[in-house]
Amino acid sequence: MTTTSSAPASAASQTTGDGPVLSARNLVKHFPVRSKGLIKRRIGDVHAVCDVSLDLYPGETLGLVGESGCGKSTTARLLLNLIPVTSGSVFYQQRDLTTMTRSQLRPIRRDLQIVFQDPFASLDPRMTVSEIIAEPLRIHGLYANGGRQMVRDLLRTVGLNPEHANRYPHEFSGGQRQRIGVARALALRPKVMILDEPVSALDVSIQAGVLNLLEDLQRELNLAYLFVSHDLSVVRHIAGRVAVMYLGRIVEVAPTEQLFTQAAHPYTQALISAIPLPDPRKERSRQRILLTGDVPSPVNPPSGCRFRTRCPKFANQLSETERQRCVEEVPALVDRGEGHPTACHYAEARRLL
Amino acid sequence: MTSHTSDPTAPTMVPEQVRPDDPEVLLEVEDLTVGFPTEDGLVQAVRGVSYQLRRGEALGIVGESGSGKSVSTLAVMGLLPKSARISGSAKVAGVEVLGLNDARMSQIRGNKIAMIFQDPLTSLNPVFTVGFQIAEAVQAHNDVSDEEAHKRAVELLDLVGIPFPEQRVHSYPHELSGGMRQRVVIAIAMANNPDVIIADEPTTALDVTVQAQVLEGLELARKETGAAMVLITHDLGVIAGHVDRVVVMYAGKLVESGTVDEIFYTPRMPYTIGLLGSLPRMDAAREARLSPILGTPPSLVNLPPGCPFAPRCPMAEQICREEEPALLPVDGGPHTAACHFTERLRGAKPGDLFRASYLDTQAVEAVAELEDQS
Amino acid sequence: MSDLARTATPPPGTGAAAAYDAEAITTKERTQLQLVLIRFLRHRVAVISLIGFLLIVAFAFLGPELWKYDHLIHREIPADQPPSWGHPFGTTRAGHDYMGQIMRGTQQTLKVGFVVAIMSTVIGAVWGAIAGFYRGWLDSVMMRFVDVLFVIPQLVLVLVLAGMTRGTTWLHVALILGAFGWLQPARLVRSVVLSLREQEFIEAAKALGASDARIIGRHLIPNTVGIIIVNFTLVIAVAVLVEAALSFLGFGIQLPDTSLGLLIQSAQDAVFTRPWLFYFPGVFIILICLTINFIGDGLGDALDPKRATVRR
Repeated sequence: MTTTSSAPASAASQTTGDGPVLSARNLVKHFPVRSKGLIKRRIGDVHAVCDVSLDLYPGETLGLVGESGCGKSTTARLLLNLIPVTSGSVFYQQRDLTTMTRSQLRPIRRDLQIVFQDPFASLDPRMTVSEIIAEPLRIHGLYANGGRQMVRDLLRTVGLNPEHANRYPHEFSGGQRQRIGVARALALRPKVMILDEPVSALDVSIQAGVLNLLEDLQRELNLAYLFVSHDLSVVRHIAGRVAVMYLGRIVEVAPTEQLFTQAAHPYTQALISAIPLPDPRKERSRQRILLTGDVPSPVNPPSGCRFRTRCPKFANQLSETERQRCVEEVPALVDRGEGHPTACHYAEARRLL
Repeated sequence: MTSHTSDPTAPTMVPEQVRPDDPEVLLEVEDLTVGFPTEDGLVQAVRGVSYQLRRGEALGIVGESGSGKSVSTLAVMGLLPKSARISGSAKVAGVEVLGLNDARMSQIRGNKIAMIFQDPLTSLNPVFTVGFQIAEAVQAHNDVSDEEAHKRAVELLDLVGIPFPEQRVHSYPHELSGGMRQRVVIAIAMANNPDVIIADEPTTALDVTVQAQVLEGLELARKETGAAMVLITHDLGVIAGHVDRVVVMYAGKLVESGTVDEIFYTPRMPYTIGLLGSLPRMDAAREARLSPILGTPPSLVNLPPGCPFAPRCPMAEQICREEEPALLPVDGGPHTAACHFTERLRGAKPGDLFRASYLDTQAVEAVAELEDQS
Repeated sequence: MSDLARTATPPPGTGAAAAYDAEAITTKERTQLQLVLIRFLRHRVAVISLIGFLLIVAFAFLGPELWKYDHLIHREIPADQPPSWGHPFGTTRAGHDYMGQIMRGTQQTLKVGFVVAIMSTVIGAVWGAIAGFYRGWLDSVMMRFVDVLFVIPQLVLVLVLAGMTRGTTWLHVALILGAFGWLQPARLVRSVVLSLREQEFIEAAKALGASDARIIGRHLIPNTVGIIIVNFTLVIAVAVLVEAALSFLGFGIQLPDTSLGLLIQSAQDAVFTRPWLFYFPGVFIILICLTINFIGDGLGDALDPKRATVRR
């Protein structure tokens, strides 16, 4: 990931050789913290997203992982301009979405869709399922021509019974509601789907069904997915490439297999070692990397490398001068000989699984 | 972390050392049944659950939403609404607790049996410091002075692994992170050296790196008090690493019970097999396709006769729809499973039973066709 | 393993029809309206109050068509009679049949109540929805305007306005009361909209490209309908009371027309001597307000979407 702010040139895709379908460059988002009282003054900023750049290629799934507060959901929303950026650009078909007006954006919204995390809150409780799925078609003037049939087809596509189209969301289970959300996102035949923790709120046995559905849809319709999640097991299963975020920055990007077998950033290593495996023997014999301390406040992130306050490498292995570097210099996201970009001055691949 | 040394001048709140091979049964639940009357009928949340817990043991209760896992332990704690219809028996250290009045129950709660809930934010009172809340728990069951209770609070915070406990004891809950709050809740649960600690989804609301810290705090609590633990969760990874025995619940009943190795490596009930097969594995390569269990858990109102898993079971036969299988021993051992056909499941893997992908390919082609036309 | 493959029946997902069985919904299909009705009918007190209120409305609007006397003075009516078979509510000193007067009074009072409620609710809902949706400076301006109007002692202002337009009919009274009645609903709707707009389904609508008008009209307002309807009923009750106070002070509905407040005012000296003149209108005002409040309670519980029977 380079740090130029012009449209990405010809970064080749792994699969088809085309350029990326969606690109973000140097995204920054600060939320102002206002003082209380009659005149609300800005007393600080929540640094939610700081200089994030990524590329999404057609037909691939890019996983965006991190824990709460790392900025992954905010990044997803910045890509669709659901929240305005503080600075940075998002390129789709060579055009910068951040500079477009609302009416210019509207036709593009057909190609970029999103599925939300909460199956209970993401559907209007006062609309029937068929109205919910028909809404995107109505907004873009596509309903008149066979819209009803499209809605029925979409319901069938996501594995639901079209006979239930006149029911209300509260009559469906969580997994079914999530499928309705997917159907709604598919209605406009997008090219890119942003999936913000789409299965996190679902039971495990239901998750699998929805994940299989998403995989099949991707294959049939050649969709590109940005899969945001905190669950590394799910991400390993579904993503081709993974980007790990911490406190507003991307700390490591790699093809999935490489990330899980040769993680180089200490945070990624800690994350992988913390996730429990459903395998008693492996669990008992596992090597754990424990982090100390709490996640720093995003209002006042640490200087230099943001992870240094919890980094086991910083605490146990580095010399004084090496530590200075971590404090003063922000590590750039570049390949340091491990085969993929890592934002750590002293990156070292480790096999943890 | 300072080590905990016993002070001979301290008041007798420190437990006597328990012999590790004492097989005392601390929690005995027998044929517990819980029903909730609702506008659609009686919801049978728990339908005859029985299990035992011995000192020092950790029992994991696994199930998805609607399985009744939380409700069964809330019944034991006496925390269900008055409209709930409870029958059966639950004994804590030999004392029957179902049907006790609130006064008597309050003596037992926090003292002999303690509970840790899922959401650390709402478990703690926001207007009191954490030290005050721990001391309050201590003083509820022990006649000690404020200073002694305060000392014990600092000790407990140290025990669960909170750094700088002497300062943290004066913090308010909102000043602590989620993981620390949950550890405070564990400290409160430990405060009176209960015989049984029940943890209901203690780490579900927490980040993964914090989860590890909290689970370690829970282990420390167990070691220190010698308490038996019931760990309720839907996360099979957490179960795999922190319990000795597992019971699997589905639609209000136990469907399988055994040691953790038996459940994970030799499951003998289709639901358990399906559950294990639907997990995406962080340690498995990408190509492995998930085998989901199709359908949804049954409504607990007006359950049809027969095995509740039959509508979703690929092995279901006529008898499964007529007769609900009892929880019977498998291979003669303590491992039990509730399935008419456990014999056939010897050595079964999820991929053998659950196959289909959940997609109507014809409809997808229709959508793709429309796309080509436009 | 082949053993298993032979005995296992095809998973219930490969056949198209079977796939739908696995997703069967067991509760009956009901429209939102039916659900609301069922829940409302479960509130005994609310249902009784609804019946009572409808009886009062029938009394006020159909009564004058059916009863032989109207609300005006007639020479043939004996004056100062206590309730009797001929005059169930008695007569006044001037020669009115009191039941005719009560009917008319209730009618005028209710008309004021309904008009005020409609005005307040419509203006307040739109105002509050726009302020809550847009936030920022528009919200500040709109709500400061509301705050300023709130601070003005409403009754005094209404009295002044009413005094300026002597010869007020019920419509004048209703319009004046409605001019202030929308402030409270505006605040209420705004706070509901503020929390609604954070919900993901609003974000989803934006992501689909919906315009602001569509989001407000199609998503926000339908989800506030519950609150609005409950508020509507309560505004009726308040308006009835305020109108009674106005008329009592002489600034409301004028003679020869009548309202419940005016009737009480005329009878205030007669509390002990001719009690029927005083208690009948008072009881009617109380009944109207009580029944409306209970109906509002019942509606509130019935309309709250969170109480819907969730399957899982």
